Amino acid sequence: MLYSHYSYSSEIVNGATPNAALSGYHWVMTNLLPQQAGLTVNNIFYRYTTEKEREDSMIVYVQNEDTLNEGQYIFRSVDDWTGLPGNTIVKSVPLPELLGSRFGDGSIEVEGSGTVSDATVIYSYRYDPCFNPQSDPSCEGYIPEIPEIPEPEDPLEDEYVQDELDRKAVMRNAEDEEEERESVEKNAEEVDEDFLEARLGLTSVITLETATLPVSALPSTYNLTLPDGVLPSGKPLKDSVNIAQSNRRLQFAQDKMHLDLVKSQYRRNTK
Amino acid sequence: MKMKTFLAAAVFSASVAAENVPINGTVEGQCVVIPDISGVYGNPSSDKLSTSPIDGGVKPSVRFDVIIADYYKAVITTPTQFSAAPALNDVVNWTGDVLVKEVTDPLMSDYDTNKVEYNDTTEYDLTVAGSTWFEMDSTAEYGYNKPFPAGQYTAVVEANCIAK
Repeated sequence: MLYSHYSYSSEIVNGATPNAALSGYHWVMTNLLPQQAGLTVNNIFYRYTTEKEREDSMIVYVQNEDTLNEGQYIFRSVDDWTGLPGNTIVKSVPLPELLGSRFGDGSIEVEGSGTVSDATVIYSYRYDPCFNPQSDPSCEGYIPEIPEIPEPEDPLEDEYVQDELDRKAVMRNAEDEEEERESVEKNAEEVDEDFLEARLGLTSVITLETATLPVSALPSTYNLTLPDGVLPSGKPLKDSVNIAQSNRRLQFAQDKMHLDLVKSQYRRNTK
Repeated sequence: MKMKTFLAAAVFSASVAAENVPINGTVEGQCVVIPDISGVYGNPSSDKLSTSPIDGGVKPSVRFDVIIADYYKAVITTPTQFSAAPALNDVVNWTGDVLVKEVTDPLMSDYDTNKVEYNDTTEYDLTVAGSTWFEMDSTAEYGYNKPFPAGQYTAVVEANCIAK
């Protein structure tokens, strides 16, 4: 029988292991079969010689454990030499393309009396080097791997940038508030000024807003004329009524406040 | 329409012929004999040629492959003459033996127990399907302390698979 170590038929690689029982009757398959994905074992050849007395009982097992089922065998050949003279047995056992990964530790075990010598166990296997197309760029179906492009970092997520943005936002809010406050104050002053100017006749332009204000809101002293046309210095003018208790003055203040609020609201909406 | 049919039938019946229809079939050999190892005669002494490894020879072997059990016999005859040799002017004494060398089934190891020997022939009943290797031993001794003439010597083992 001939066993070529490697022969190529198209893409499939056929091969055979060296003698598994060369250095003992227990062997480890991972040391014998190539570590190829999809490798299958399709034949086991073995030969050994028994030495025994004819009348002795003797059973010889050539076997491989099943890696998937503990305590079971993926391959087990039994030779019963009981009541037979010893001889050399040669067997070639075809297998139905069993996955090489299922072949666990192999052994030749003897049950009964007698010895085994000159043992040879050879596994024939085959595999497709392109079983996993990604294993070789020359394989059909190979898909070139696209390098992973790192996701660009959002600079806004940077801690320092975020702190700076927060700080600016706080500053902007403060500035806005300040600006608004100033604007409100300025507008209030302008309104007061315009209103007073209009009432005092310094300007003929009376806005709609000011026109809505009651004339009676002005202190009554604005309508009085000095008897001699001279305002004596150091002589304070007295109000005819107690200002602190004046309802009209209070109403004016409320109206002014209302006006300011409306204006500020209007400005905010038009911004 | 009927007339045409009649005529046709008449014509047909008028042309009677005889033909032999073959039936083909193939019987595959159920027993195959394959030479395994060619023997070599050693020359341990001037008057002796032997295939025994002790004598420097190589024992020939032959393999019998039987597809079905218990239908065939292995009949092996060891040499009784040289098929090629220098001219010999004296008697050659032949001895031979056949043994089961290797088996594919332990039951075959019992073949030697049940073999039948006569003259220089050994018969084995092939009761188990599978392959059996038979190893032969052949010894030729020339005359009485007479050296074999120098030259090339060839002998033949005859191995036959015969249906029972």
